[in-house]
Amino acid sequence: MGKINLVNLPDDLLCSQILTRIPLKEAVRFSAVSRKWCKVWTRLPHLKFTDEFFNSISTNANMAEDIINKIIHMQCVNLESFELHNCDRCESSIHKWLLWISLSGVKCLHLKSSTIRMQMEVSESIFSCMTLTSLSLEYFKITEVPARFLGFSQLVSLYLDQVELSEQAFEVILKLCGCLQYLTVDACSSPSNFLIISSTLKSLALVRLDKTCLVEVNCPRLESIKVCQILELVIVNICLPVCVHLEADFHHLQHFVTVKSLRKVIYFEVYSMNGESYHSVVLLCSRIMKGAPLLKTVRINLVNSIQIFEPDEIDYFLRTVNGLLCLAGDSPKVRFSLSWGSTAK
Amino acid sequence: MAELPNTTMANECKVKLKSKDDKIFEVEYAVAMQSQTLKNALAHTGCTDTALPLHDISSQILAKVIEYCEYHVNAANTISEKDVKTWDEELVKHMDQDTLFRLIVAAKYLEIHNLVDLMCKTIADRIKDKSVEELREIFHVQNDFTPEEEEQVRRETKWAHGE
Repeated sequence: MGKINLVNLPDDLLCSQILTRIPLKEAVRFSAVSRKWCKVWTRLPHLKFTDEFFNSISTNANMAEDIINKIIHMQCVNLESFELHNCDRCESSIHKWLLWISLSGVKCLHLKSSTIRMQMEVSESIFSCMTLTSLSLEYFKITEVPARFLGFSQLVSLYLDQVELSEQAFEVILKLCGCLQYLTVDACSSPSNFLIISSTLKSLALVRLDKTCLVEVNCPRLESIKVCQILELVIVNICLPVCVHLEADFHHLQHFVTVKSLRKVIYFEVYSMNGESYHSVVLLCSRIMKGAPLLKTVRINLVNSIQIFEPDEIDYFLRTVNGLLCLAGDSPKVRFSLSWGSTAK
Repeated sequence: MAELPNTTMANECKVKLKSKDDKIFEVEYAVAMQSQTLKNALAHTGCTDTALPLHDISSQILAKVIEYCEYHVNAANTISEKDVKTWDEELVKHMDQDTLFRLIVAAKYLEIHNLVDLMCKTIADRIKDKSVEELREIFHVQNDFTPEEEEQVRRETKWAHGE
């Protein structure tokens, strides 16, 4: 009686949880190990064609496209997730791939284009992926939404990084995603007006927008909001009755420091931009702590915002730290943390 | 159908588990709740003195599962994520294949998601960057292809084997 070992691993564990953690090339190589696994490469519910994959194929550009084509068409299981980098290198095939995987019931889709300056227009086929629960796009352009688009009715999470989309497109997508809970807009050059109305949204992040933004948020269930590294912010209307997690730039904080907004806040992080008076940081923190009875954690994030060169600046900095320590001392239940430094290379 | 234990009862409730080799283990309710399977079972039976039989799990493996669940329940709010990760890594560091396999099957049956995750990650780390021959050694398998079959498989997935 031999020892049983890993060769008897149930197929679904192997294919959906183990082979997905190693590079695709190696997962496919598995089929040459033993007869038992010779078709394992056709049963991968998570397909990741990342930069690593492209680098591991020989430099022949068409070859990568052919391989991806083959792998997608040979899958005989329903696809759970699909990730593709370098979309612009596969421009001729991406439309049919997206149509194919939309038929497969794909839930998580992550597309990334490699050109940064000239964004690639997102394929129309993306709007046929009706079964999506999570969509992540990097370096794309969405000029318009096709008229036939009925919405991503199961979409829970939407992540847009350096995506240029028209206000109309943004509004339509948001309106037609009836159960969206997580929305992130990161470094997107457009839109600049954000009208965010959602009765299901739980978490909102608007970050790294180096322009003036007009924001109206009507999301009664919003629990977490992050509004950081935004050049200029105009908030028309914001009401955060159940917000527990708040992160904002220092000079936009006055929008949030109202009694109603802070009532349930447990975690608060402030980003201090260049040139702020450290004294005012302490003052504001003190106001917030008075208005937030449930507060447990306060983080002051000064990364990239202090240039300590002069004795005056060092002095100011130390006074701030001192002020914060006093605040911390007065509120033993609250955990304070201060981070500073530079992410410059 | 028995009622769900209310909070006070939950705090006092001890859950009994019986391994394949008839050994009885007693765990706290919170520890048992780490397992989705046990959670569902207990929702039906309520807090009971009868041991829940786990026909396919040996006492040696069950002890390891309980060790994992107990640590994670206690670590939940007190130990840093980094330290928990270190503990997890220590647990699996020198684990032999046989134990790894039995543990992952038990974790899957009991639906303890982070334990399944940990096991899968461990196995993935062990098979990463290995050639086909090395993989055969790790899994103790022979090359059971005929030369023609092997040729065909390699041809089908040619791009994955070349460098």
